[in-house]
Amino acid sequence: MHLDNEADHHSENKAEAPGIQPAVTRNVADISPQIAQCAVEWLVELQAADHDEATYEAFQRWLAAHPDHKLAWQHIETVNTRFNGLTSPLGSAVAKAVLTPRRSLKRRQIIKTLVVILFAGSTGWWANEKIPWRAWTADERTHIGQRRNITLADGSRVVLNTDTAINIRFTANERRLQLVRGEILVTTNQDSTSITRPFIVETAQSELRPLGTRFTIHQQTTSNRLSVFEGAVEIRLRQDINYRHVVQAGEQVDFSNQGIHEIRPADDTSTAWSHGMIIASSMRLADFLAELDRYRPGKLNCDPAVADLRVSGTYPLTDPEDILDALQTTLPVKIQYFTRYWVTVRPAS
Amino acid sequence: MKYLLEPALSVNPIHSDSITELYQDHHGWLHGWLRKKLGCSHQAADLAHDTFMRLLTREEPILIQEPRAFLTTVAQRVLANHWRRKQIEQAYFEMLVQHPEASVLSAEECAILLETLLEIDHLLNRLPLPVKRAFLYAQLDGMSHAEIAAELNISITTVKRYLIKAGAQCYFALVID
Repeated sequence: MHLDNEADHHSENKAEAPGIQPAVTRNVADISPQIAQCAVEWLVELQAADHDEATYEAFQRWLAAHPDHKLAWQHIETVNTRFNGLTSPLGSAVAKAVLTPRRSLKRRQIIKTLVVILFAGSTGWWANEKIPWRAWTADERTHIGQRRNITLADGSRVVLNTDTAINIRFTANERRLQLVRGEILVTTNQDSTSITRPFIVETAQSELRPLGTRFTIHQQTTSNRLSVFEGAVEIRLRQDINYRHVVQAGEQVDFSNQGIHEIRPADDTSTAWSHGMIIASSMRLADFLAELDRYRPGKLNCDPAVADLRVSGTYPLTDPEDILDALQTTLPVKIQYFTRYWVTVRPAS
Repeated sequence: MKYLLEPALSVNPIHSDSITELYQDHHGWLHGWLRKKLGCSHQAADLAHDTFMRLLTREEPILIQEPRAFLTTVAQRVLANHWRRKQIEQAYFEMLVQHPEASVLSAEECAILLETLLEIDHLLNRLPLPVKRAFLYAQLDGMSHAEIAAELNISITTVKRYLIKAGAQCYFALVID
């Protein structure tokens, strides 16, 4: 502390003594913009790697020169804490990519990897009544509400969603995944072996051959839903060996044994489950509940009277019951539990 | 009709009364206006609600002569936030998918990260991209001015100017909040 400095009348200890210093009630909004600007300049000066002891002492003198300086500096520290959540290597990478996107670079990064989501519906194709044991003897599986990450022999990664079973069949000639039941997210790197083996994802109706891309596929009882985000995916049908259809980036298609029925824009939020979330953007309540149903044991029913209400928001899947409670507070609905395993969403009145 | 909106924090009944009138006279019209922009009645209802919430929580008194022009201005701001939020959410989930190490994050951590991103985006709103980049390099990675200059291919003087500009914007953005 520089006792020869006249401004020390306003130094910290004195400023806190009640009755002497009226500035105790002073608000950040009362500080002049010039002082604010000075504080920011000091921050930048101190962030420079090459600042010396003299700079630091000069800063200390400035700080002590007036209580508003200290207040402005405290405010800057408050501002800085807002960034704390993003200082991890991942947080920083995500923040820079999302807030200051470089389109061309991003595209190149994506082409290196392949991301696939497959959904085999609640009654998977091999897991039908005739051969239920298939799901239980599959190479990898999850129970209802579970999610698992698996790294494959070639470094590719698979995330299994709730109630899912897969077989992994890697040979010298191909890398094949069989979706027995449920939904998966696959991220492949290029094959590390000297010859590049094709990556094939097999479902009840089809074989999918991604052409350097990122996509999701969702299999309902008799059809599949495929969304492509980058590159393209070729569909081959089991029942029509001559059928080939290439789905392009930005497209979502529904297809069955007969081929494609419908094309619409792809929605990227459908991959949110791989991070333990459902993202709904003006989703019909009936569709939302059908989705939520997959993550909890038992049956979740929707009264037709409320089926067309809309749901928006980001919901963590850790506890589906919490999501039901939240619906009750945001929509005119009530949750009726007959048992824990038989739940119906009805109109509130 | 004129509406005098008093600050929300004062206990003046005129405030909520005139909001009520404004609501009664123009809510239906605002909802229709937003529905045309959004193509969805439910989202329009949410954003119309947000628009009136903004009026209820504002601190300065305002005298409104042209209620619809005024509501449109406020609603446009609400709408812009809505679109920006959707854009950030989309980019965020694309990024998570591309970063396999992100799968270790819990759902709560993902949600907090997203909220933080939205807040930082709001703070850095409308700054030019190189200014944002320089600021994030300094704030998140602790890079020196020389390192940032090399990374962005600009002079150290420019780096300082960028950092001051972004820092000042954040400072004042949080004063107003």
